[in-house]
Amino acid sequence: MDLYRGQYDFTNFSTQVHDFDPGIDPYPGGLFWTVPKPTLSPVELGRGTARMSMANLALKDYFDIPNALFRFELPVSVDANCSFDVEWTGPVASSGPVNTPGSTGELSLTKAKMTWSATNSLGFRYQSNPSGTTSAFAQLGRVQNGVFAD
Amino acid sequence: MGSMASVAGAALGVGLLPTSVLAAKPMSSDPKPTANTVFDTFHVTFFGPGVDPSSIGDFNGFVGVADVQGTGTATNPDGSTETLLFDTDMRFMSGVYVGLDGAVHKGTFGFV
Repeated sequence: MDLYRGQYDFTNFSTQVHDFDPGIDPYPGGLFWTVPKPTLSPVELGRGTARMSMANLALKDYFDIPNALFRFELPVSVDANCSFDVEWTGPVASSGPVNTPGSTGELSLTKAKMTWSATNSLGFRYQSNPSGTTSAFAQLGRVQNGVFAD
Repeated sequence: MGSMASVAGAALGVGLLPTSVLAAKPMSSDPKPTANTVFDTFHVTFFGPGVDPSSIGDFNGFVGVADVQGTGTATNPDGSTETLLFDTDMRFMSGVYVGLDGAVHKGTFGFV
């Protein structure tokens, strides 16, 4: 979950001021930004709906994505905490096969919205505005990879 | 019946194994990272149409991706407030996977 001042800069991240993520464990080749046991509602692929939430998740604030990946700032990160509620709302716009080598399955484009909040140990707090969000990309589906893709 | 016997036998046998053997064998049910990488280092994929978004490997199940953008109120450590833009890459994976221990497990994971 990333925060930008004034405008987005997805090329150089020059306007990014916070990056909340759970890290890479072990770094750098381990599980990437992955945490166990979010609360997940039943996934309805035909309707394009699902819901995922977590409360009081401990994670880190790496301040920006380049630092989260390559860890060149000091301090690299500070302790943080977040809560989120993501809702895939539908309808399904289109569906198609998974084309990633080593994976199979089918994915459908849908819509999503989200509310979230976060704090860090420096005293920073953020609360998202629940209205006026934009679903830039949303997808639901079933995939099989690795030994299950054979 | 057979599988229960195996479990019981394994439990009894654990006590007979040297500590070094137990320590050397990964016993974690944690998932393995996806085999896909970006920058040849990080085990993740950029999301997109047709792209397997799972961050875990040897996985079979439901996935979801949500890139949501919006605004919110930031309160800085000095007490000042400002509006900041947000952008997210939120994902889930829910199904079965082969853990680090080599066994098949059922689980749900979030990508935050």
